[in-house]
Amino acid sequence: MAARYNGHTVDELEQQDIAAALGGDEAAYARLVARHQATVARLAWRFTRVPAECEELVQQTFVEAYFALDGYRGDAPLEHWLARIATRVGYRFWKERTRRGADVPLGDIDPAAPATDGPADPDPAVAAALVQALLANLAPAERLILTLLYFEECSTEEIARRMGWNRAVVKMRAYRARRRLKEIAQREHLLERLGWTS
Amino acid sequence: MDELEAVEKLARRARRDGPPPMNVASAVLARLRAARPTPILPLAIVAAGAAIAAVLIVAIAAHAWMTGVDPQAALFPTLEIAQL
Repeated sequence: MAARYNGHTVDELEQQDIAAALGGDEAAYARLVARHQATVARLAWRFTRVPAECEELVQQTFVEAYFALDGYRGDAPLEHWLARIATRVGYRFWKERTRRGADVPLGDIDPAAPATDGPADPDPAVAAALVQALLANLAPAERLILTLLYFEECSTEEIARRMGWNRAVVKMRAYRARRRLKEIAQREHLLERLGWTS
Repeated sequence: MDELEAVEKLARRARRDGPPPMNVASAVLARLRAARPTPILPLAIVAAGAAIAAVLIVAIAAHAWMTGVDPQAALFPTLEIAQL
């Protein structure tokens, strides 16, 4: 059952705010941003672990969403539509960054940082930093596919839809990306670094 | 466990990692205000005013050119009389 506020469901409020924002009501768009910024920020965090860059990606997503809002048909939740824009914004950021070669090298991350919820595995933040540093060695398209598969648990169909790519191409790239990622992890002695060799 | 399984295990843990809290609403609105195209109406009013002023000046100048009398013209009849 949908949550209700002042007699309206969340969806109704959302539709009202979208209509008002399209009419130029800034406060209505600010409410939409406030409602969805945490979800967008969580996705943007997969593209950069630098808080200032992450915030910039979130802002850019909502700016682009505003100018595309009249194209939102409402047949899927706004959150999904925003995730699509955020993914594309993040992908562009990576492509730009790849040209500049600005990613954090794997060697700069200490996998032995203590976990807060268990001694055997690295802390989630360290685990994320390690995976993102490994993925940074891939081409942006391959990196995006594995990021969405691993972090967002997207299906290949969902990735294809988000990016406007062919699903067969996504599957092929995912296969190649995994094979390449394994080679990179071997080259970087990941198992030894983690102490997971048996 | 091979390397790929290790990465997948790390990724499962990494899903719990999230960004620091942020509030971007006011920054987004500021960027939207800056990104909006400048309203064309004030510029159009200024341009129309300038065009009207230019037309008036040209009309006055043309009228003055066609009806004005050269102040030196008064000398020529005197000269002509003197030559006679």
